[in-house]
Amino acid sequence: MFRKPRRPKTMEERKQRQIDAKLEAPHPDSQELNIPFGLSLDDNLALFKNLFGNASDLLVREFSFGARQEIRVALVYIDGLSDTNSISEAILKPFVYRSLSDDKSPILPESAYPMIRDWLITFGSVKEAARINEVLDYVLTGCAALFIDGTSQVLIVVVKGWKARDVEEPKAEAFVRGPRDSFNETLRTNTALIRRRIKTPRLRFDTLKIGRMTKTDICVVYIHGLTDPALKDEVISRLKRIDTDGILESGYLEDFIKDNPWTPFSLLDRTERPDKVAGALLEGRVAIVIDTTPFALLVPAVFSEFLQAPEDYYESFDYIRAFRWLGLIIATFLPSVYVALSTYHQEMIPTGLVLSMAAGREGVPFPALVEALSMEISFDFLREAGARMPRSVGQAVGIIGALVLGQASVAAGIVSPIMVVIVSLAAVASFMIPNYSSSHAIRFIRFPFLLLAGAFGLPGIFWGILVLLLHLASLRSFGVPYLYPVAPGVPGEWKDVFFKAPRWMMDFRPSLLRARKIRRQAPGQMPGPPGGSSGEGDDPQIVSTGREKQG
Amino acid sequence: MKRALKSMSVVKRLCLVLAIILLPNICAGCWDRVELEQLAYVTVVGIDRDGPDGVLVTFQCVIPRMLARGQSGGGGGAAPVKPYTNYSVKARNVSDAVRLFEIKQPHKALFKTSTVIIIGEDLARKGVIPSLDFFTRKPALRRSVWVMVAEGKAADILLKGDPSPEIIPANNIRTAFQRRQDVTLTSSVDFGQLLSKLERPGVDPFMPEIKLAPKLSGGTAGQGETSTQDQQKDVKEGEKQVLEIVDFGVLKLGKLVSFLDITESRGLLWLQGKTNSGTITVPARGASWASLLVSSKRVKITPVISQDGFLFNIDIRIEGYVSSVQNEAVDPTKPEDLGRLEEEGEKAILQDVMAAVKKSQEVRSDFLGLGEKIYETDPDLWKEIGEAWRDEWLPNVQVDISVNCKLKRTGLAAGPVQPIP
Amino acid sequence: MSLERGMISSRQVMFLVTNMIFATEIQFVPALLTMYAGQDAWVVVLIVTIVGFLFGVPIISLGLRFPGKTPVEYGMDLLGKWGGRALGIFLGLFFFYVAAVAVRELADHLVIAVMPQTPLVVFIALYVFAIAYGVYLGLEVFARVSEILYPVFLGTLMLGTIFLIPSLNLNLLKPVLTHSPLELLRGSLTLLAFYGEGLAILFLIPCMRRPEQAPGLNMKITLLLNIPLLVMVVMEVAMFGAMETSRILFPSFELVKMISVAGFFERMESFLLAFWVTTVCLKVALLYYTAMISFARSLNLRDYRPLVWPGAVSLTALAVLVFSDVTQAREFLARSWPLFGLSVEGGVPILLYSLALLRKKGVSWRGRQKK
Repeated sequence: MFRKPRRPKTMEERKQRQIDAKLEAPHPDSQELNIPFGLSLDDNLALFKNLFGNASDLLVREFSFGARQEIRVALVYIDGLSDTNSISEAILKPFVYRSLSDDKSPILPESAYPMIRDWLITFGSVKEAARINEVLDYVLTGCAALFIDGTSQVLIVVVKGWKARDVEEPKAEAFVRGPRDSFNETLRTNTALIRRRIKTPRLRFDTLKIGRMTKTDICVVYIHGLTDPALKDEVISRLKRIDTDGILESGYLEDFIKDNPWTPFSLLDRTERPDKVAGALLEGRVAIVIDTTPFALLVPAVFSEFLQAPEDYYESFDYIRAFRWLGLIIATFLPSVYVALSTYHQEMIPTGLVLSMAAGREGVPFPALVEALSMEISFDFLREAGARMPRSVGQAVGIIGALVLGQASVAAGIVSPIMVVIVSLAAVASFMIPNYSSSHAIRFIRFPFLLLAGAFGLPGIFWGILVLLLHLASLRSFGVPYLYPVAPGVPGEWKDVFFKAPRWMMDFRPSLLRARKIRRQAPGQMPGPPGGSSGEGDDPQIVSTGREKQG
Repeated sequence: MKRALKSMSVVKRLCLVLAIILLPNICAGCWDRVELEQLAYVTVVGIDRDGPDGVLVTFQCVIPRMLARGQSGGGGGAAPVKPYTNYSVKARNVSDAVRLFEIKQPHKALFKTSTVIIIGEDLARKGVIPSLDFFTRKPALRRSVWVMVAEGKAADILLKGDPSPEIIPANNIRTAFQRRQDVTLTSSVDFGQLLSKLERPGVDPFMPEIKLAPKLSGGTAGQGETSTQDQQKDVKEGEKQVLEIVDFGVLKLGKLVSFLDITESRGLLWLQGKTNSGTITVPARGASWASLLVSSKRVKITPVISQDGFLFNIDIRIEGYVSSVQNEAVDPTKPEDLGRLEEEGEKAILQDVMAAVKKSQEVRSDFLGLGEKIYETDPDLWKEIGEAWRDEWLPNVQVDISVNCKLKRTGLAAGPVQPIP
Repeated sequence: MSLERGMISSRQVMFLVTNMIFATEIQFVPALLTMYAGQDAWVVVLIVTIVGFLFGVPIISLGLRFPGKTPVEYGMDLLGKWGGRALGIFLGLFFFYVAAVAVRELADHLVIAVMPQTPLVVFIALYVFAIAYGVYLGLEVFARVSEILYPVFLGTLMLGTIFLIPSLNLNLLKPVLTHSPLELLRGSLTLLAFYGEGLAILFLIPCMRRPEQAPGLNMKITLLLNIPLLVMVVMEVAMFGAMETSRILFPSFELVKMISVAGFFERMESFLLAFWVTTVCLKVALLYYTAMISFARSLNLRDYRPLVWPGAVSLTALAVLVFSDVTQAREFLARSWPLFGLSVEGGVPILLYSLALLRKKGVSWRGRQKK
């Protein structure tokens, strides 16, 4: 009954959409608008207003100036994108003062434009434009355009200024020690945060615009003379290939420039911390900073990097790296190993434990595999619900989850207590992975491993490990093997993989990044006792004088 | 076009992988899968002879559910639940018995949890090898499982042995064993050792002997009233008896020939050369005794082969300390007193070893491994005499034993307690 | 933007070859050696350490004589076009057969020891799929994987055996050197036949990024192979005795069963077995890759990849059919394999090398270095 009238409706909708698409065709950013303005101010303004379809945020302020108000001028900008203070201070005020000044000589129409450009506008950054699409671009990015009657030139005043978030603490990457600033949604702020850390003219920002509609500014950041130029060129050429209507977040780019699209593992690193970006740049990597998102991309990225947190480098002694590897293994394999051991290899479980596990499973209606799968799935539900809910509701989700999934299901005998322990331990371990996106991948591969464990036990798990390793070993991130430096093995670089060596031991940059300068610091900087006095014994006076000298 | 094709093939490949993972789950499904609750946790296997060819196999299994209840329930007033059951199966061989056992009760037998195999005396006398063959082929059983020989029937040990104080009866055997280890020398024999000795020239295996002993009544229990209750319960449960692992049974060519007495067992253990420690009690002075806790540090057996026969120089080095002296006249801090204690210790050990050698010659079983020494030093000679070693040569070998006992400490006290008049 | 150009490092070659030989060796050799040489099995290992090293010298210098060429290609140079092709097909079939035998051994072992009720063909198909996937992805990829898995496997195995030291009885190694040279020789031949699978290194040398490191590999591979093998053989004899070791089907597996760490980590054999199986997979991947390269070069194909999946199906079938039961497999390894394997593994390189020397084809590595 309902469907029949709806079909034509959807057809109509479709038609409407087609019409819209046709209307869009002479779109402002097409080449058709690559033409100069006319001389008449009224025509130009009419054209401009027409392009915007009288959008309410397009402000057009027409006024005249000169002793006899002989020059007509129009100021066009987008409300909210431009700084109104600067506009009134640097643009409107000079005109008013000029009109009110004692100089009553008339201004010739042809001299008006250079006059305004050269000394009337009291703002630092002024540009000229003549073509419609150019002016459009400027206005849309927050500049004010000054149309002057009688000339086709348009004066652009770069008074960009919009409500932006302050530089705040990183939201997605928590830490204890380290700089507390993070990127925000403004490209300039972000580049400035990087520049503040790397004060060399060789720090380069190559800017591209991607997105037919969004025209997102994308900054490829690298250190000239350090980063492998081939890598930088590859990044830029991959970015240039992108032709899409919009880039709203770094994730959009990621999908386009990944080496292998069919992998759950993330082949790029992303961060909202400028210190991490600076660290990566100093290693010879390339960063991609994107306007309107606080997340920057770092390429190339290798697997071991996802277990590194910037804080590792700020704390001098660090065993936590090894723990993260352990956590990675536990997060990936613990549930499946539990299933394999309890359904196939009971002899591997210590006697006392196997008896208490069996006692716990007494009366549980599901096989261990189903039990584990359902617990894993419900855990993922919980996590996702908790992440998407508003914070106040999120807490409730957590409580319900803990009560329902934990206690109630055990009390009801649906799930064995040890399974709850296993699944939560694996979940906690997966939170140990500093990189959020790669912990997604880890959570994902748990499911095939569970199925394998349920079907073939440990041989199944190892089969999975083999296939997984083969897959990982076949991946590359911008030409760098994903498992580097473990395979292909460069044992000399393991000091930043399985544990973190002290700073003075890491004299070299990662070799596969092909940085132009492989050495990053002077060798032999291992700190020692104050020079020469080692033979003096433990006399406190000598020690204290030694210290004073140092100070 | 090309890109589309490529992505198609990737999708196909993903599907293939998924299919390979999922299909076995869905269709044929997990051939060897057993859930934890579908297992029978065998803790002890007892094997007895049944008729001329058959075996009677007793499986003692833990019931995990009961175990959990016992733990959570706490002592309380409720009657203690027995967390184990015994199943006895008569069959042609052990393999059959396991199969019948799995039919008799619904669960699959898990042998991982089993710590001990007990072989009944009758069966052991007939030969242990045929019944153990099953366990060498079965992947589930480990070689570190203990093997013991029962005095009498293995089934009796399992049915009548009192499991207290441990909840799991197999642990009880382990505990009994450890208790024994504290008091005097002892040595466990695991399945792997048994097998490698069976197949080694010039040595016969021995196994600890497990037997039932009447429970000590009264005295051992704590306070008055509870002890009477215990006694009442004992009476009620009737034949429950304490397990004892004291001596050894020795085999000859895979067949049990004899049990050793305590002296012979100790002599056997001194010669094993492992750092077993045990207490020996020696006469101190007059009618009093001293206890020495000693362990054998090094044992060297060198065969001297001559025309007349074989002479074995057995050199034993013992170390230990004085654990108690029941005579205030003996002061272990004085070198001459300590020296005397050492001498006494040497004498006691010498007697033990002599007894073991005698026994070995008497039953013609080379459980001390004397023949092995000949095999090691002169394999060619062994080839000639090996066949007849046990029956012709062993009874006539000479042994020359020297024991060196060194007492290093006197415990926490130096001299004896001296009452001052 | 490939930064590697399909090349592998000498480290990867070392692990690939060691993994290939060790994977099957460790499971079968101890039993076979004790069968021939009793408690003197470790002497055989020492002999083969030296002989194997000498065995490797001509193979590696043959590989270095023809840089960038596989044996099939210089077989064509030396034996003529059709001779070379015939040699390629023959080598391909040989490696294919060895691969099938290895897959069969792997699956047999899994079925016997861990999963007695699972059909054999399931494991064979499962693992052949993984192997073919690896070979399809290329030499670089499975070389990397073996670079990760093999050291970890070896490390775990050696670490585990440390816990066995207290329960060893070194007396079981006595009497020393009672076996006749003939018996030791038979043992050595058996071991050498496993060793000779290293012939596959001829197919790896042309892919090495720095072939000049190949001569050093010989020593590394020999030591990396024989030290763990020596440890395992000594431990097995000292644990079970020589008789029992030769009686047990998989003594190393049985040895691993004895590992008990603090009474908690026990019965690691299923774990180590599953791990071992993955190293066998990498072994088969290398053999299978070698076979595919031989076929592709002989058939004048530019890429071996089109052959991989059809070949995988035949590999599965061959692995199912190659033996009828475990006894036959053991018989094959103990009796036929030393002769059969050695005659190919020794014959082919010696034939090619002597032809190269006689016809003065190729340039010896030293000669090139002097230039």
